[in-house]
Parts: sequence; structure tokens; C-alpha cells
Amino acid sequence: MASEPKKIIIDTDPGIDDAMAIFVALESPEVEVIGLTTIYGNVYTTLATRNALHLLDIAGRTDIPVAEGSHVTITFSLICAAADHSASLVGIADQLGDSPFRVVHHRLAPSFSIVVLWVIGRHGTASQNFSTIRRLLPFSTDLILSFRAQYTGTKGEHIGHTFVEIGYRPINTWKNGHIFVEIGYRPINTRWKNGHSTKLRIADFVHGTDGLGNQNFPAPNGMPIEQNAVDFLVQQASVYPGKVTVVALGPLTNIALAIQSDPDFVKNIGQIVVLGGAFSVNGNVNPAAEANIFGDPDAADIVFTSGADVLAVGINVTHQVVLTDFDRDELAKSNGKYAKYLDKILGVYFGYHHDAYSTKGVYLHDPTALLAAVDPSLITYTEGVVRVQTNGITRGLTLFYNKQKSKGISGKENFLNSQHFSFLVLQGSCPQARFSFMNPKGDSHREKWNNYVVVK
Amino acid sequence: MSIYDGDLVASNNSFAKQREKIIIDTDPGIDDSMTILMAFQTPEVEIIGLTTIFGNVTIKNATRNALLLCEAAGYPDVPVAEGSSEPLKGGEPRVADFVHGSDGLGNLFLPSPNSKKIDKSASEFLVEKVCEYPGEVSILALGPLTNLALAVKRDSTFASKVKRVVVLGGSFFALGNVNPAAEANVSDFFPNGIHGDPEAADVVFTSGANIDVVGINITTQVKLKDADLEELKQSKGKHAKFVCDMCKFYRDWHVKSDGVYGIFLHDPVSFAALVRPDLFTFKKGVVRVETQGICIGHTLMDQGLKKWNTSNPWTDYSPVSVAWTVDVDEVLDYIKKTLMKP
Repeated sequence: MASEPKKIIIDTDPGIDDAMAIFVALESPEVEVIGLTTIYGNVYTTLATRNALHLLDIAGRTDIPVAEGSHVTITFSLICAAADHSASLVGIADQLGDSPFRVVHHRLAPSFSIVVLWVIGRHGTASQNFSTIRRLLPFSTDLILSFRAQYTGTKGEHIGHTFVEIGYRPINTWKNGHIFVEIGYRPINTRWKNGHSTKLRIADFVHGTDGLGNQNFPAPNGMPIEQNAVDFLVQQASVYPGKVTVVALGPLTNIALAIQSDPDFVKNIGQIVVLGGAFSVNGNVNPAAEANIFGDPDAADIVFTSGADVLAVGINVTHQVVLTDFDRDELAKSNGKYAKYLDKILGVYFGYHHDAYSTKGVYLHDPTALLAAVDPSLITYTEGVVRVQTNGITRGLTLFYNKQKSKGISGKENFLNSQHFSFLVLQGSCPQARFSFMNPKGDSHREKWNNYVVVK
Repeated sequence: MSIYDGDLVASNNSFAKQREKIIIDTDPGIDDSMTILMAFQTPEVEIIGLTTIFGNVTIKNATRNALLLCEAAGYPDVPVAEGSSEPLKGGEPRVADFVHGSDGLGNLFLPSPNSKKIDKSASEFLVEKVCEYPGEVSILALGPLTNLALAVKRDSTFASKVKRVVVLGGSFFALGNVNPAAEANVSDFFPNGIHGDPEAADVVFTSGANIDVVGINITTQVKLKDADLEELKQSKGKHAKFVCDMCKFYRDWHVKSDGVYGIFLHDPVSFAALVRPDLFTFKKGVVRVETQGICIGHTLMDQGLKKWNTSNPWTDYSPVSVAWTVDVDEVLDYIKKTLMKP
């Protein structure tokens, strides 16, 4: 402990278990939290920023900077337009399904973030939604770009057209208490849908509409910093090359954007600890996908294949770490710094778990991932390649490929391990991690966990 | 308890009287051939036909080999119906001649069969037999599921009339051995029918039929080692020499590809699941097959551990039984005994 604490940036979408993870980090002398970056997931990004600031208020650590991250998935965040690309705008709607607008976005991205993106169906039938959004846009954005895509048939005849309106607003005009406008697009042309979800998936049914157990906390005192999350990540990594660990507790959009915006980021960043994926177990959004990966599968695939030192902690591990009803009582009665606060916000989280999993307890996803950064020896690992399915019915599936197999490990051994794996997932629980935030100064999380997944 | 015992006795009695009618849908294939020969040596089952499919070999070779096997087994009258030459969505199928030899039978290059395939297509034959004996016919599907999917599409009552379908294919929750299809990694476990035709597999798994799936996570636990092969060779098994000759090529591929001195028994294990389900445990859940992207062919089962708050691609389909554990020693013993039957 005499050594210098590990610098960490927590990329977070708080979120009840995010709140726990942040508190665990702030109370762990092994790490120094040098910033929070925010992302949508449990809540929309704007609310994530608000909650991050709020949690730092609670902890009395308003010295820690909060940088607001992407409001949309990487596919959408790359959507943009610039004057010198006006020629490509006619086709802009056509590209929505794939990886659109990649080229043009960077022009506006540094100074603007997308507020609303709405696509109106073909045949020129401006729907009610369209008019509503049109009326709404001027109040929430500073810049609106409208496009019309024309459709022509095989013989060149006019079929119809599609409107795309994208509203931008300058980054950092964030105000306390401002609740964000819904982001989405509504393609009528089914060709665009093509397996992509048309709306951000926000897990407010897990964490409450405010993300913190429906407590309606007052607005935070602080403000996010001028820099956006991506620039903050890139800058910190380059200032402390090899020294910064990012703990990503939400969808991986910010991290993927950082990788794309700076070729040195992968080299400069020390480690990326990802809470995400379901390795050889069912997901938690649907049987295939875990929520954070499902939130932005394209970004996740970019991160996993970036070559960075990535350590993925999937729900196959975090489902072993359960805070039971009994633990919660104990927590409520304890003198832990955050005990009362956490007990208050945990109600919604317990309720959800009871309904969805029929368990009397909650999974400690985020704290577990955070502890993997604090003390990697708590978890055992295996190395291999991870890819993310980005389309089809298993969109968001994380597939782990253990290259060692081709070196002659027999299938039987691997499969036996996998049976063992499933067994642990169903049966196991780790009594240590759940106490780490109750007993923050204690030497409390030394037990080895028997499960793992690492990515190199 | 006593009631339960009574049931068991009753079912055993009826079992003894009536042999279970089975159709083997197959792409022979060395381990397919072992399985077919085993099935002919098993008095509990009556093979009422073979249907062929591309996979280990081309459809032409599959049909040829199926006819040859019936002759070799002494049942030249068993009908062989030729099936699809390509997956549902079309395109040239990939053939595993590097595993099974260019003739599919370990490069033994046997003379052509005397018997002929029947005029009906595989899916026609499947529908016809299942409708002729509703609730009585079980199907052992050892290759891509194209024929079965076509049968499901041909007759909406097929799924409810078939007694049971035992499918060899897929891989369930196996860490690290799931073969990313995009990689087309030939060194991985190839005999995975799902690779051959993911669309068809999805049709079959969601058809509502009574299905047992045996994935490679189960079959790769059962190996016939070099010593077992030697034992088989020395035995008085009716087809022991034939099987051992075929297996040479197959065994050498396993050494090269997996460092396994012996062979995996994918198809024979599935046959064991058909006749000796007591040697396995199963879990029920909806299974879907990915038909797009880098994970094409991936079989994904909803284990039902979570109540989903929205519908997803797994909701509203009938569950199938997925083989979960296998009594390795007993299954190996069963396979060896059957192969060594004089």
C-alpha cells in the first residue's frame, strides 16, 4: 500500500450499483479516482452526469472532475454533417442502418452533441411526431440540420422521400435539473431497421426513473467540466501513459470513441476494466445479451478488438456476488459512511431483482468490476479473444474464443470446465465483496474468486 | 413411487413388443456410418428409412454411402431418400472431405452400390412416414437440418406427429470452443450441423416438435481412444473391421486437429441419446439459432433463469430438451458393446 495508488477513471451511468462502485472506489486507498465520465445506460447521459455530480456531493469529493459523455450509441454519435459534405446528404437516410455518417461527424462532434435525431417516414407524410419534434427542436437545440432523402424506383421514378432532422446543441450548456429529451429515430422504411434497435435502451425499471431509487435528490452543486468524456479520457491517458485504468460500468461508447479519436489511446491507457458481457451464460437483457454490451454492441466490439489491455468482468462473475436481504439489514445498521444512503436507494433495486430473478438479494455488478481494478487478485482470469455480435437475434452476444484450444487442450477438459462454470454461476456467491463498502477501510476483500474472463 | 414403477414396467413391456421406428437423416460420414451400422445391430429400433443430406460429403456421395451402408449391414431393402443438396437459402455447401475423406468413408473407395434411392425426396419421405405412423416415428438427425425444415414447411402437422427428433448439433454454453463461424475454422469441431444450415436449424428448433438436442459440448466428452479402436479391431464385431478401416483417416485428422489420439463419437453419442436417454440429463429451454453476422450458426438457449420484462426472440416458442450431462463411461461402453456385437 506504500506504492502509489492506481489512477482510475470511472465511466459510469449511475445507477444504484454504480453509486456503490463509486463509493467503493472513493474509499479504497489502492486507487485514486481522477475523474468520472458519464454515459447512458441505466439512465440517459444527462441524468448520468447529474447523478455523478450528486454522488460526489454526497461523498464530499467535488474536487473530482465529471466529464459528460456520449448521448447516443457509436453508430449514432458518428452521425453528422458538414457543409463540405453536402453532396452526400441526399443519401443520409439510406445510411442510417449501417455505419452511417462516419466521415462527416467529426467536424461537428467536438463542439456539438446531438440532442434529437428523428427520421420521418417516406411518402412525405409528415406524421404527428414530426410536427411535435419540429416544434420542440428549437427549444432544445442550437443548430438543426434537416435533410431530405429522395427515393427513386428502378426506372428512376419518384417514390417518395424521407426527412431526417438532427438537432445539435453545444456541449457543456448543461444545466442543473434539466431533463433530457428523448433520443431516437423512427424509420418507416423497414430496410433501415435491420436488426438495430431504434431507441436507446435505458434501464429505468431497474434503477428507478431518477437512476437512484426514485429518491428525487436535490440538484447537485457542481457542474461537469468543459471537456467531454472522450477528450478527457484521451487527455488523461496521454498525460499519464500506462498509468490510468478506465473502469467502464456502462455501454462502451465513450471508450470506443476515444480509441477512434486518438490512435495512441490504446497504447497510453493502462487497462480497461469492462463490466459487461455474459460469457457462457445467458444474458440479462435477453437470453443472448448482457445490458452494457447490448447498449452499444458496435462500440463493445471496437473496444474488445482494439488491442488494449482489456479485462472483462461478465455477469457470469457478477451474478456470484449477491447482496442479500440479510446483508442489507446489516448494512443499514452499520456505521458505514454510506450505509444509510445506500439503504435508501437500494429499495427499487431489490424490488426489481425480486420480480425478475425471484431472488432475495441483488447482484453487485458494478462494485465487483470496480474491485477487479482495485485488486485484480480477487478474480481469476482466462485469456482469449472476445468478439461481439452486432446484428441478428443474438445482437450483443459476447463470444469468447480461447485460442489455447488449438494447442491441443482436449475438448473434454474445456467442456468440463464450462459445466463447472455454469454450476458456479448458479450456486456461488462471494461473501467478501459485498462488505467492502460497508467496511471501506478494512482489509476486506482478499478472498480469491473462482471465476473470470479476461481479454487480451 | 409404486405408481411410477408401474409406469416404467408398462412402458418397458410395450417397448419390448414394438421396436421403435426410426429414420436416420444423415450425411455419411465416418461417424454417421458407425451410427447407421450400430442402429442396424440394435434390436430395439427398426430403421424404416434413411434420408440423406449434404454435410460431411456432397449429397450424391451421401446417398451413395447410405445405400452402401444398408447393403453392408444386410438390409438392402431399407429405403434411402435423397435430400437437399444445399442449405435453405441456397449456395454451395461446405463439405468436410478433409475430415471424412473424399468419399466420406475414410478414402476406402468402395465399389458402387447395387440398390437405388427411392423416387421421393427426403422431406416427402419424412412427411409420408410420420403421417403414416403418427406419434410413432423418431428421427435421428445427424447432419444439417435442411430436410427436416422442409418437412416442417411441407406439412404443418409434421411437428406434432413426429414422436421425437434427436438432433446432433450446436454447442451450449461451452466456453472457448464455440467456433466463430466467420473464422470457418476447420481445426475446430466440424460435425456441427448448425453450421451447415442455420436457417433450417432455427426452423426446426422453433417448430414445436418434441426435440432433444445433443451439442458438441456433450459429444466431445466421449472419445474412442487408440486402445479402444485396437480392442474393436480384435473383436468379433460384425462390422468391426469395416469400422476400423474407415476410422484410420478420421483418427489421423483428430490427432492433427485436436491433439486427440482417438476419435470423437458425435453421431454414435446422439444415437445413444435416442435409445438410452437414461444415460443423459437434459434441460429444457427455447433454443434459437443465429442466422446473421459473425456468430452465424450459434445456438443459444434460454435457460429460463430470468423473467424477461419485454418480449425477445426467444419468447413464445416451445422449449426443446438440451442434453446437459452425459454418463461418459456408460455411453462409451454402450457404443463399444454395440460395435462389437457379432
